[in-house]
Amino acid sequence: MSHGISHNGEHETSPSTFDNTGKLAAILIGVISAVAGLLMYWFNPLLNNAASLQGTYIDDLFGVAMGIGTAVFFMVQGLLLYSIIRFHRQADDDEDGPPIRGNTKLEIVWTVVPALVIIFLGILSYQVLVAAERPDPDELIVEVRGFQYAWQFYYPDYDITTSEMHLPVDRPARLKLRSNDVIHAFWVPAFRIKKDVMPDRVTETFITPIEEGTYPIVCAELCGAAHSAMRSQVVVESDSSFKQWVSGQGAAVARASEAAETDPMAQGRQVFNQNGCNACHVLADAGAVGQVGPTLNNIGAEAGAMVPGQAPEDYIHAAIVDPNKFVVEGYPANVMPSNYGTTISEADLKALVDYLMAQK
Amino acid sequence: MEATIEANAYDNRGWIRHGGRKLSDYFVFNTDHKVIGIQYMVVAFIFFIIGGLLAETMRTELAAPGTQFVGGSSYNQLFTLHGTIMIFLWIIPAFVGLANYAVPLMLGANDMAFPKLNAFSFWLTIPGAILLIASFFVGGAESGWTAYPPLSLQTPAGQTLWAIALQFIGFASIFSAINFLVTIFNMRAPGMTLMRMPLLAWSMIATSIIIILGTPVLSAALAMLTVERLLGANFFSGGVGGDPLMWQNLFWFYSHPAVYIMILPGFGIISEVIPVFSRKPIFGYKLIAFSSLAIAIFGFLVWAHHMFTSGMDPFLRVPFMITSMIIAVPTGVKIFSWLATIWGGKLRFTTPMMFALAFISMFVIGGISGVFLASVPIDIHVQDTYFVVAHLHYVLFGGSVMAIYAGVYFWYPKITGRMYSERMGKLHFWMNFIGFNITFLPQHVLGLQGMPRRVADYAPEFMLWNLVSTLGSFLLAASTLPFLWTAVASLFKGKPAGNNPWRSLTLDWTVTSPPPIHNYPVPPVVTSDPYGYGERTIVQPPVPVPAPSGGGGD
Repeated sequence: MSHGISHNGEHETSPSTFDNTGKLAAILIGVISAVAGLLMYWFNPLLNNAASLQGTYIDDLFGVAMGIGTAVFFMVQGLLLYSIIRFHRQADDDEDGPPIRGNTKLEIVWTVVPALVIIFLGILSYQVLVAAERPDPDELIVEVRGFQYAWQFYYPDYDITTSEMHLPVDRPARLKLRSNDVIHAFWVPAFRIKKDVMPDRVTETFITPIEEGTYPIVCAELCGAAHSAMRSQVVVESDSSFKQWVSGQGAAVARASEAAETDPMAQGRQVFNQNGCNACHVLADAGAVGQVGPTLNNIGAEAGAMVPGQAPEDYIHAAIVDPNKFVVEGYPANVMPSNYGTTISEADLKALVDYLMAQK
Repeated sequence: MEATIEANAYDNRGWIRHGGRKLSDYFVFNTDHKVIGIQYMVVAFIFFIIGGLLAETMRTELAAPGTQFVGGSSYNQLFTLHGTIMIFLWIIPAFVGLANYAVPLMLGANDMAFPKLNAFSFWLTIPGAILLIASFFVGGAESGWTAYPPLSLQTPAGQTLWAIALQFIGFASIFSAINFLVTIFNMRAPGMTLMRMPLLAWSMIATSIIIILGTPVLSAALAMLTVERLLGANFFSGGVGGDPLMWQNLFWFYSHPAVYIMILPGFGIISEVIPVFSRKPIFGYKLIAFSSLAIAIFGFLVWAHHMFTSGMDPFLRVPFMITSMIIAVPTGVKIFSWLATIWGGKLRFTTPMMFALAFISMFVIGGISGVFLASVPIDIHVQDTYFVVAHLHYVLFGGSVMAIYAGVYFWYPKITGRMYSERMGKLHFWMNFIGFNITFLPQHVLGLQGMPRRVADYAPEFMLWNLVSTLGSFLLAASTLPFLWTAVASLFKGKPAGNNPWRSLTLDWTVTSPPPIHNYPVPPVVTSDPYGYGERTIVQPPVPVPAPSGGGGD
């Protein structure tokens, strides 16, 4: 049983609470925390180099936050560990500790100092935000379309549409994002840039790539069954390679429309790729390597045998507009979007069915 | 006369009863706050295990890239149900259960203000829970616990059941919050001024205010979602007058404050456990009490930080960033106050104390990563990634769940009249603490390096840390076994606890363990706050009714 200390015990200075050992430990913990924080700020080891100008701003800010966070972490854990080791109750000691109920000065300090640190971090964050979203008159505009489960990029300056994004290095780009169906989020981890892609409005984000290379584009907002397969990539290249790529794409478009006269399959192939079928299915003719749904390389030959009594054209048509009607064994239902009947025009749908029928 | 009070207090007839003396008393509409507390805790723990199994299924799938045995819609259903269960059927009801048991006793009250409403709240949770589980079997909700439209308008019928289930749980929550507020303001023992209340009571005031102001907004949003799904109203569909962002605003207006619903009671429990085992008064009582209220108020001004990358007005992100960061200040105040309480004390490392210390240590990590997420530019990179998954688990597991365990071990002797096994408790603690950190620490790195959340499959470069995380989660899951062992076995084999095994100064430890059905036949008189360690001796007030009364656990 503990024995009460009289009420004036409050004023007693207690040797065991903040003696020289305690002071020394507190100072040591403070120094270690500061050093750890500075090291973390300096090396910023958790992030690889950013590939965009905005990313470098964000990384610098992250480094500052990481430095402060590391210092706070070491300080709290240090004080905690020191207390656990030092103030362990002795086995035969049933006395209470010193009745200290507070210390106004200390309490003001640990309210005001964190508030100042927070204000500092807030101001810094605001500056970075303004810098990261500054428009530029020389912007390259890219219109990004997200749909279940693929990305599409339209370059209004060149009138080309692609399923892979290309950006010239060091030239600011403004992305205008829009979704065909649910909310997606356009994220390029290497750029540190993420923006939700909404069905009912256009959102914008700014990227100035500074490092040539190929980086993944990831959908970061849950968008349905094949959310994790909704990926693409962005190629950052020199201005000349970019121009070459653009003219190549332009030529491909021209070829396709020319070919449409002679090659009845061109339209179907285009419908296949522009509606994201390529994101989930394998189809050699269209260069599609998606891993979510069944392989379609021989669909024209196989369709007739899928459902007894069903004409192959009807089977393919149904499988597109009502994908849950005949789910291929080994693949889950409710993965493929069920609204292609409304999003693809009647003519395009016919071209797509004809195209798939020809895959034998 | 006191014996008569006790005899009259127990009512064991029919389906509406009062008091727990036999097992069947726990399966009916029982109006005793102690029985209801136990009912809440047991049901919540069952759901913790279900939610945990769902999580283990996901972690097993994520052990390697590619889809091994659960992908697509099924995976989405798993994390939707996992999140919903852990929030609405584990953490929130577990805290309600602990507070239901402890708060009236700590205030010197004989029950909650509205015992029937209290039982009604509990029994309203049950159909909600059943509907939620049922939703899984009719094509479950698969749009995450956040249920963003338009995705949540496309998903199968289970989504509607999900929304209706949450209505039940939401109403239960509102009723119990009203009950806590009225109890705390009106049922305190003579002499217990507001500033002499245990800090858990202050936390429950703050929590209840948030529930009462926030939950109706969630109910409204859920009702709109249900009507849109069933009748085609266009609240959240773009292009026809609706707006998907409106859901996000309504949802987070509740669901961010809900984070504080899930942590403030934990702050309260920690503020009770730390002084008892440090043998020192809580440091800075007033600042701790008021910082809870500050968190409750500021908690309503930060919701849009969940929408920094959405289509919301770009400038509005700045004020929301500032308010979100400011929340770190009252939270930091609590951390420093606990550290100062420990400093210079005479620490006893019982299991509840170890969980309480782990709470401080782990919650700080979640708090630091929270400030990162509040900073708009950093959030633009880490929003919707595993960094967020790591952050929220440091707050809700490293914080809330550690606090729940601290509370359960702390009051176990009071509730059951017997001591738990320290050996099993320590084993549980270390497996839990190590398993938790192995599971969630690597997820920070995964998020920073580019792994989005809510994916069944990921790029091969993320394999290593995912495997580590999965192995850690198995240890974490296994840590539940020693807890279950001692929680059950000590009911029969535990050493008798006596009234006050911890030599605590709060009123709950002045009555027998388990407490009599009518808590205080003689109303206690309070002359100071319950933290006067080193100032006053612990006087055991006369306990008139001897042991045979029931309580929990029989």
